Order: sequence, then C-alpha cells, then structure tokens
Amino acid sequence: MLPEKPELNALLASHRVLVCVGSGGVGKTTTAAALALWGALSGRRTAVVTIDPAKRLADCLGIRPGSSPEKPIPPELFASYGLQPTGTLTALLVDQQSAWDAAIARYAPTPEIRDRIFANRFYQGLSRTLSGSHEYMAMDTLALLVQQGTYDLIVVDTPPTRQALDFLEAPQRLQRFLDSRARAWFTRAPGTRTWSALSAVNRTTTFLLRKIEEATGISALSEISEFFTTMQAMFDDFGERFQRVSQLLTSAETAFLLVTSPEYTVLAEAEEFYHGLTQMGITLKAVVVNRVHDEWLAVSPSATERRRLTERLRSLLPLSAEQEPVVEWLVKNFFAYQHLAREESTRLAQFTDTFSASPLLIRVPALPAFPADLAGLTLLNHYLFSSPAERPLRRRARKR
Amino acid sequence: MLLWFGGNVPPKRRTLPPTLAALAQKRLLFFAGKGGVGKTTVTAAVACTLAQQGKKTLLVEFDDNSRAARLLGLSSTDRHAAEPQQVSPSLFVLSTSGQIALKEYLHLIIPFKPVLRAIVESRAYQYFIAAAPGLKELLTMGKVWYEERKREAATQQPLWDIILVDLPATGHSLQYLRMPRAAHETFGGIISRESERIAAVLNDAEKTAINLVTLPDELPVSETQEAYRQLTEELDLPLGALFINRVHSAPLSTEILKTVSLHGRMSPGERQVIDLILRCGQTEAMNAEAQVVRVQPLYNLSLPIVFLPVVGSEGASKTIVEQLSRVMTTVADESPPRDNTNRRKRSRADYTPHVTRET
Repeated sequence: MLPEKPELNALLASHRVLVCVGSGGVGKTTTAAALALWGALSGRRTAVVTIDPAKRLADCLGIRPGSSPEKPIPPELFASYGLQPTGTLTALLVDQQSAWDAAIARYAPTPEIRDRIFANRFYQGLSRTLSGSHEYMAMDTLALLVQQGTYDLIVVDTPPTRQALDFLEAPQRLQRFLDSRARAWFTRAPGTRTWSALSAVNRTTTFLLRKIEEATGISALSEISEFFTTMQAMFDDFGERFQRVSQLLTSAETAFLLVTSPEYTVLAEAEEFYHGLTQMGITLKAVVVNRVHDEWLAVSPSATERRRLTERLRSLLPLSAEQEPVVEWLVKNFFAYQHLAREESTRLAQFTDTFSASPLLIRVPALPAFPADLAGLTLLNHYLFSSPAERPLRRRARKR
Repeated sequence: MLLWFGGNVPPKRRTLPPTLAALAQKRLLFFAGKGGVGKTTVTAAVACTLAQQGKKTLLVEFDDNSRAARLLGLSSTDRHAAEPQQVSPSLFVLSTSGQIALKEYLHLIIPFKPVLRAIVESRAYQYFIAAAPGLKELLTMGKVWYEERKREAATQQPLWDIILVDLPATGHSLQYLRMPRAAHETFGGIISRESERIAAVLNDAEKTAINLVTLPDELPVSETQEAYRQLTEELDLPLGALFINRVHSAPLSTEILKTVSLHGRMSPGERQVIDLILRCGQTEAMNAEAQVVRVQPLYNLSLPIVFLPVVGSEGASKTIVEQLSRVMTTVADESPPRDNTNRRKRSRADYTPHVTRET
C-alpha cells in the first residue's frame, strides 16, 4: 500500500510540464483542467493543452473551436466563482484537422497547390485518420509553447488511447513514416516525369501500388506523390521538432501523471501504462484515481448483524406502511456500497503493489456529478491537493 | 468464471424482455458509444445473454487491446489469435483490426506467401494502410461481413446465429459504419462492388441494428444525442436500442431522509453505523435524482431504452459481465429509474419510448 500524501502541490511547483496519461473516460481532461486551475491560483502563468473537452468545460475554459488566438480566462469569470488567481490560465485546444490544414496553408507555395492538396484524397485520409497525427499535433503544440516561454506551467491532456503509450510512440511512428528516404520513393525526381518509385528497384512497391490502383480506382501513386512533393519542406522540419519534444519529455522539467479509475479493465490498462513508461525510462510521479468509493467501515458487519440493523432501523425510522420497503433498501444499499468500496480498495492495492517506485497516490471520491465548471474544478482540487484529514467530514465518516 | 461461461451448469433460458428479444432476431448488432461508458462490458453482457439463449454468438472487437476477450477471461495468447476463440459452448470472441483484415484480404489476392510477406513488410504498404482514406475501417467491416456469410459445410446454415460488434469510441465508430457506402461511392474497381454489398447488409433493418451505449452523465448524454442525429439523419442506418449503463435508483427521495430524526437509545457504535446507512442512502438518492434530470433529453430519441443498474456488488464469485447479463434478462429492460422528486409529476408514459420506426 502506498502512502497517501498531500504532496501534489510540491510536484506542481517543481515541474514546468505535466503530462496526464490514461485510458479514455476516466476524467483525464477534467483532472488536467483542475491541475491547471491550481497552477493559476498559485500564481503561475498556466496553459492547459487539451484534446476533446466536454462542451460545458470547454465553454468555461473559454475554448471556442476554430478560434486560434489563445486568450487567458478573464478575471471576471474567476471572480464570479469567488476566485482570485494571482497567475493566469489559458486553455488550448488541439484540433488535428485544422492543425494539418494550417500547416498545408503555411507550406504550400501557391494557393492553387494548396487547394489541390486539400482536395487530394491521400491528404484527406492522412490528416483525418493517420494514427498518431493527433498525438503528434499535441506534442508539436507543447514544443511550441515551451519554446515561446510564455508559460511557467503547461499541463498536457493526452488523447484517449486504449493502447498504452500511443501518445508517446505515435509521433515517432509518424516521423518514421515521413522519413526522407521513404518519401523519396514517392517524390518526383527533379526534371523527370516519372516517380523515383518507378525508376528505383523497388518492384514490390510498384506492384503493390498497381494492385491498389486496380482495386480502388484511385490513382494512388500520383496522389501520394503530389502530396509529398508539395510538403517536402514541412516534413524536413518534423524530425528536428520531434527530437526537441522527446528531450523535453524525458527531462527533469516534466512530470508524468497517470489518471485512472478503480474499475477492473481500466486498472489493467493503467498497469500497462505504468510498465510502458518505465520501459521508456520515464518515472511516473503521481497516480490520480478518480471515482473511488471510500470504505466507511473497516470491518463489514456480519449477516446476523445486518438483520439486527435492519430491525433496529425499522424501529427507529418514523415511516408509513407504504414506505416500509425503504428500510430494506437502505440496508441493502449500504452493504452494496461497502462491498463495492472493499473490492475497489483490494484492486487498488493489487495495482499499486506492482509498482517498483512509489509515485504519489491520490484518490478522488465518486462525485455526484463530474466537474464541468470552475466551481466543480475547485471542488476537485480540494480532493487533489488537501490532505485527507482536511477533507469534508461527509466523506470521511470514520474520522467522526 | 469459466465455469459459468463454460456451462457445467445448464444455462437458464429466461424469456427475454421485449427490447432484447427484438435484438435477438437480428444477425448483426453493432454497439457504439463514448469511451469509458462500459460499452465493451455491455456488449459482452448482451453476447452472454444471447449465447445463454442457445444462440451461436460471435463477439467481434476492433481493438488491439482485446478488452472484450480479456473481460470474458481469455488468456493473452488466445486474445491475439486470428480466428474466433471459444469462450463457452455457444460464445466466441474475435479481436481484429484493420491491419489484420488487410493482410487477410491481400492473401486472397496474392496467394504467394513470400511476395505477400515482402509487401506487408514494405514501407509503401505501411504508408498505404496508415493513410488510405478509410481503408482500415472498410476492411474491418468487410471482415464482419465475411463472418456473417460463413456457412456450415454440411447444412449450409449460417455459422453464426448472431454477430455482435463492439465498435471503437463514438466519433470513430461512425467512421466504420459510414465507410462501406462512402467507399462504394468514391472508389472504383473491386472495392466499390464489395463495399456496395457490405453497405446493403448494414442498411438492412431485418438483419442489422445499431445500438448506442451511454451513461446518465452530462457529456455521454450529449454525445449520444449527436451520435443519434448522425445515425438517423446522415447515415440513415437501422437502430436497435439505447443502453444506459450505471443507473442509480432509490425508492425514496432525499426529502424524506432530510426529515428523519433518530429516536431511541443507541450505543455510539450503533449510531455510527445507522448514521452511515442513512448517509449512504442519501447519497444514492441524490445521485438518482440528478441522473433522472440528466437523461431527460434521451427520452426524445425514437429508441427503446434499456436501463442497467450499477453492478459490482454481488461478490467476487460473479464477474461484472455475468451480473450485467443477469440484470438484463430480469429487471433492467425499459424500467426507468424512479423519479422521487416533486419537481413535476410524471407518468409512466413519459418514459415509454416512442418507437416509430418500422421494422
């Protein structure tokens, strides 16, 4: 069992970049937003790079799709929630499609070529579905932010992936994919009308592409070739930028934080995340477990005790005959809750036992509604940053 | 766990509730939903339920992580097998992906192993599968279609009575459903002809039903509305049911509990437990009340709703899939969570789904 310590504050204070990883649906985006809010409240110029925020959360963070100039959340908004940050909070949305389009617009030599690329089916497929390009864009945004130096703290929310470390590996894959040697096959040799793919010895490639053309009716070769020929300059840049991000992620400035929930499949994936990170030489600094049901009693009452409690409750509650079943339900509900909490804590203990290092472990209780505005984020911060003893008694009945 | 799935105990055949009974008549059931809503668990539970009815059931998942196979207790080697793996006498699981499907497809066109290997290992091939518009989705759907068409050699009866497909998280899952028709319209050659046949099966309301899985929470509810809009307006595909997972319910309102004051003498220990019981009931009632409000917009969709309670409280001997499968066949179907609030008087009719589609 790992110690539960209120040291997340120290972790935030000593790092410049916080990367939140974890499966989809565990509250990763919300946790990242809450951490960023804490950064702003403690006086730092903070940015949160997010992928797919819930609409209400996006609204409260001032994210509008398509609006590129980044603006910090206005002080009036904080004030309306009774908050007075000494720092700032800016949310940035990573949109794969528009990021690619912007890059094309930047690198295309003429508007005609730009439009041709936009209409290119190979480009459309690449920008929408190429696995890893979302991850790459998030990384790219991060690199840019660090380079600009406008922020003291950058919290990165990673795309929801089931595959453990897609986020970290995808940019590398994308880089390999766009590597200059491979591209050379598809790029027009200077001064000729043929593609190097055809003149080169790589018959397999040619054969495959012919097959693909036959099967799909798409002139695969010419579309791929046109795309790569136009985009040369942009791709040459990729390698260097990716190198910078890689260095940043493994540097002492960056802390990785795993967000999870105590469910069986989610924890199994969280374990894979942990091992994957370890293999890549990255130390996990903290684990946030959302939606935990606190165990209220150290020892669950026995079946006899349970019957006696039901009878006792029946005599204590002033209920009408119609409301009678309520007593049974109350007891059953309590025991179900107790059981759920017990199972979760067993699973969590098994999970943390597999760790060789000791990251910070933070449990956040199952909240009636997951935070979707600044008030909700403030509540979440309460669970993230305060020591267990300071938490509301409502949740910590044992302490009464 | 395998004991239960493996069935030394003869399966109990309960009469299925109407919504599930209607789904059981189909050949292809797709399940779509946002990440984290328990889509895989729900799909696996429906598959178990149908398999228990004696239907030869295949559960297909498009995921390298094989969540469903894991949930059903398959070992890690079986999880990555190319062929369907048996979980119980009538339940099989197949974890597939676009890459695997494409390799199989190429094997059909290029039967020479060395040539095939050279192609698959070539950079050009990697390029193509990564970026060819929708090819991955198309081929994965093709794989489902291929399983649907499989026949027993002796009887010429379909090999599978029913196939359930656990689609990836929402945005992406619609991509899979959209692909066959789009491919037919944009591509030429063999692919166009084959995708037309796949699209025809997808659009056949006799055979196919697209189901949605969601949670009674804000974000999943709005995503479900959006997915429903796209499915009905843009894709025009036959819909099945909406599964709302992890629904809290309470037979009492928070109002009643507020008025409760405890009379009589109690020891401090006893008072503490009684207090906790009440507090716990209060929390559950609050959750239930909040959820009733949050799921309101979903009643406007023309879809039968299956409410699934929070499970996981019956003891470690039963798996979550097993528990969910059990509640599905008993209480869950179309019994809405109770509304104990006085905000507005509601009648049963409010919850009755308006099923207007013709089947």
